[in-house]
This record gives sequence, C-alpha cells and structure tokens, in this order.
Amino acid sequence: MVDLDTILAGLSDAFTLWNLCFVIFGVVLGQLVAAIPGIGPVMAIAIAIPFTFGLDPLPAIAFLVGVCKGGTVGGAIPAILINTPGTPDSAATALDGHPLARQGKPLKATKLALFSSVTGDTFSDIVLITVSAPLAILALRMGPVEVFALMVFAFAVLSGLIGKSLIKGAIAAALGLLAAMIGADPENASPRLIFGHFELFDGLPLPAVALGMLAISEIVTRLARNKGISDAAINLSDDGDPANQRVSWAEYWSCRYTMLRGAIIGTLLGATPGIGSTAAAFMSYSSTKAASKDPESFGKGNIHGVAATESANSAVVGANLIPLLTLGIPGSVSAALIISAFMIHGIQPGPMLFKEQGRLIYGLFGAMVMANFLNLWIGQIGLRLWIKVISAPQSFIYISAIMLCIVGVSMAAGGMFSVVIMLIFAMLGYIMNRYEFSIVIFIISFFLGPRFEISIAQSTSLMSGDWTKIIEYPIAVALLALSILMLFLILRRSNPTTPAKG
Amino acid sequence: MILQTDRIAGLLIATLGLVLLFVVFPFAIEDMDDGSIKPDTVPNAIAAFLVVCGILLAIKRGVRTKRDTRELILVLLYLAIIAAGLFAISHLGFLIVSPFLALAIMLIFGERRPIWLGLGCVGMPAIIWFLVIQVLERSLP
Repeated sequence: MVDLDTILAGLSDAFTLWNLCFVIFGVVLGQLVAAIPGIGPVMAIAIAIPFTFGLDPLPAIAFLVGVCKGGTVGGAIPAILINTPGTPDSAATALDGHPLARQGKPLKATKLALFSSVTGDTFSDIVLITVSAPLAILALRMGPVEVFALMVFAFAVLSGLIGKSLIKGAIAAALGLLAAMIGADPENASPRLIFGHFELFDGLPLPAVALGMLAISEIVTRLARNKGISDAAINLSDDGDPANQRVSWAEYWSCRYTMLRGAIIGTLLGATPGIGSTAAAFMSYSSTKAASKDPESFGKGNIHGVAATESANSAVVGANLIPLLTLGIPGSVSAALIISAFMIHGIQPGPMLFKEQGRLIYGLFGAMVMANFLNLWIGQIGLRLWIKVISAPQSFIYISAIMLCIVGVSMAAGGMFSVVIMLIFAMLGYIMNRYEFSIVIFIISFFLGPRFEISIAQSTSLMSGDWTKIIEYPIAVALLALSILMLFLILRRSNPTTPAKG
Repeated sequence: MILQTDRIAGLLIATLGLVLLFVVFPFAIEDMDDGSIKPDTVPNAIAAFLVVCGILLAIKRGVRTKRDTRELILVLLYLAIIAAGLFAISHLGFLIVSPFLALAIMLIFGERRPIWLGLGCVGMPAIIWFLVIQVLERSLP
C-alpha cells in the first residue's frame, strides 16, 4: 500500500536538524515532568498540544511523541529514589527499585530502569512499524457497520477493564458520549444542546475538556490535599563503589529474557485499547517473579524486578499507536491526545492515514526511532540534573501548570469561553475521580462520540433502517458477540461483595 | 459522616438521565425528519442507558466512601479563585492578572518563601509571555 519512495521520503523528512531539536525538547520535557510526582507526561502532552499550533505537523507530533517517550523514563526516577512513582505505571518499579536505592545503588537502579525502558520501547516500535500498515489494509475493508461494531467492542473493553466497576465504566463512557453530542448533529447539522452559545456549534473543544479533566482537576485536588509545604526530598546517596553506580553488560544481558517478556506483554496490552501501562507493568512483574528461580528476592532489590516493569510499561507507548493509526481508536488518554494533535493539524486518523498521509506517518516512525536513541542519551546525562530540577516546590510547579493550561486552552480553542469550559470540566473531573468514575473512559468516549454517531447513521442508512440485517455482516456480528462475551467474562470475574472503603 | 456513595451516585445518574430524556432534550434538540437518524436518536439512547446504569448502580452493593468536607471546600476555593482570575483576565488581560492569581494560590497553598513567590508570580508569566508572544507569535488572553 505504501511504496518505498513514500517511506524513504517520510524518513528523510524526520531526520532533519529542526525535527531533532523538537524531539530533544520533547524527550527532555517528558523525562522532566514524569520525574515530578503529580504532573506526569499525560498532563504535559495535554498542556503542550496548544503550543504546537504554529508548527508543521511533523515537528509538532514528533515533539509530542518525544514527551510521551521521555515520560516512560522519567517516572521511574522518583519511584526508585523516594518510593513515590512519578507516573502510575512506575509504581511497580518502586517495588524493587527503591530497595536497590536503599542498598546504596540508586544509580544502578535508575540506569537499569532507563536501559530496560528503552529496550521495551524499541521492541514495541519495531512491532508498530511492521504491523500497522498491513493492519490498516485490513481495516480499510471495514464498512460503517463493522466500524460501529468495533466501537461497541472498544467501549466494552474500556468499560470492563479500566477502573473497578463495569457499571461505573459504562456510565463514564455514556457521559463522555453525551458530552460529544453537544454541537451540530452530524446528519442534519442542526444545533444540539448549545443553549444559545454558538461557540459550541462545532462541539466542545477537546483541549479544554482534556486539560480540565486531566490537568486542572488533578492540580486543584493536589493543592487541596496538601498539608503544608513539602518539597521533594530526593537524596542521591551511594556507597562510592563504582560497580554500584553503573549497569554492567553482564547484568544487562542477564535480564534479556525478562526484558523480552516485559516487552511482549507491554506490546500486546498496549495494542488493546484501554488496558494501559500500569497493568502491563504489574503483569510483567508478577510473571517474572513467577518464572524466577529465586522469587523471594523480589521486593528486596532484584534487578529483574526493575527490568520487568520498565520494559513492559515503556512497550505500551509504541503499541498504543497501533489501534490509533490503523483504526483511529486511541488505546489510551495519551494516544487520544496525540490523535487530537493530528486533527488540529488537519489530519484524520484511521486506516486512510497510510494512503493519504503515508509520508507523514513514516516521518512519525522516524521521529520515534530518534526519540528512542535520545531517550537513552538524555536519560544518561540528565539523571542528576532532573533530581535537582524536580526539587522545585509543588506550589511553583502547580501554579505554572495552571497558567500554562489557561494560556494553552485559550490559544487552542479560541478564547476565554473555552477556558471557562475547561474549568467546568475540571469540576466534573474532580467529582468523577472522587466517586471513582474513570476519566480515561470519559475522554476516549468523548473523542470517539462523533464517529460513533456517524457510524450509526451510516449503518442505519446502509441497512435501510432494519437493524436485523446486521446478520449479513459477519465481522460485525463476530465483534458484537465478542463484546458480549467480554462483558460476561468481566461480570463473572468481578466480586459482587466489594469491601468497604474509608 | 459515612454514606453509601454508590447508591446516591446511581440515583443521581438515573435522575440525570430522566431529566435529559424528558426535560432537556425535547427543549434543546431541534426535531428534524431528514437523514437516516434523528438528531435526538443517539442522545436519547445514551440518556436511557444512563437511567438503566444508574438504577443498576443504586441496586448493586457498592462502596462506602468517607466524605472529606475540607478537601471539597478547598477544591471549590481554588476553582473559585481560578474562575475569578479568568473573569479578571477577560477584562484586564493575562499579563496584569496572572501575578495576582499566582500569588493568591501560592499563599493559600502555604508558600511563603520570597524567591519561589517571585518566580511563580513574575518569572512564570514572563516565561509564558516570551514563549507565546516572542517565540510562537500568538496573542495572550
């Protein structure tokens, strides 16, 4: 489908000094923000998207990919050094990483996390680059009925696998779809639920919704939960033995099967919408522990524990782009945000992307390869620097993030009206978080909403309004059956007597 | 005070669904006969789904969550300060209002060190001004 000339042209577009600068900036920013507990790469991507407005699509997306990839490395730093994961997916890294740091090997632990992270990430990128084009060809054979069924399947997976309750997941998905109904209806272009605000005719702006729910709600919650000023108490102490400050080739090589297992788990889970890197990290950790000849050493500073979690959670990043580039369905919030950056630059994600924007996609792949190398390089030289920078007080970090959100949304979505929307969704995000309704499901559903409605309208038209004709579409029927089976299995697995909390 | 929050949340969700179905949608969605589906078809289906899920959540034995009133008040306070800041920004502009907004939030948070207050109130707005106006050549709100 994509000829060699397009691939080479895309790669040559990527490997320019200009793009290199943006990838470096993205990786630095990603590593830095992920190292700060409470900010994280998802929030950084959300904040950064409006600032990529003035750029060409490739440097803009390369920058965001850099932030994403940098985030996979940075989150491990506070997890290892202060037992406080910078990102949820690095929580498993703390299990063995922090004991290693307490044994006087903080540099060994952080460097092993870096090498494992880059190894897992590179593995999943190779899978992404290899399988996405053939998958897109298959996806092109899908009509509106199959797309509708695929989205139902995606909603079932998201609702069932994210969060603690299937019903709450379904409610979050419905609320996200409901928010997507605001604006002109796709069939007749008649205004819906805009209550006289014609700024809403094109729907709620995704940057305002995403920043409100992901960034502002999280920041105000952290501001409110803080009891007094607390700086990050990071102390990089070691016992002076050079062997404890580096990772030898023998140590790295001894973890090869652990990293491979983690990379495969991360890639498989990353390619499935909704499962995410935290699940991948814990699954990889427990399978490595189960396969180990010395399982008792896990949790006490086993290097395989760090290698297992970091290779898995980083492998999710590349694999998350597989459903995004082939089907237009984001596998995670960061993928949904990257998809919104595509759309801001006038690019419609989905199977047609390889046909219409093949050069850009291979440029993106080139940028991902660059980001992997830079992650390794910047991670090695930046470690001590991040530790200094992340000691900045939370008050400064949070107020900086709030100001960037206000300016970013105003720039991205056209004025203060969008900033007010951001604030409303910050409140909604806080309420949803407080009562354990998944924000991730909400945002992905909000993003998929318009396409879901269009697929319903097209399917209705195709079947002349008679939905019993769906049996003439075997792929759609199979996907719907799979959705029902999935929900049944999740319901069977879930424990009906949830223990009391608080 | 301890409440069975899932039950209350379920009832609220079901009520929201009913209000949307019978009050909001008939008033806020125009009826059109063109097209394969009506403008209110999907919203109505979602609202009905919310009613069903809300009832299921209310019936199901759920979790109990302790209410943290202090946290809620503080969240509302911070959001109110940001809202007031936005109102002021829409009249006076970002550059004038942002130092005061930063100062208010940092002081309530408990920050008292002059250097960090200075960096938050003056340094960060200056960096944003440089980034947006000078580098990106866009306008500030």
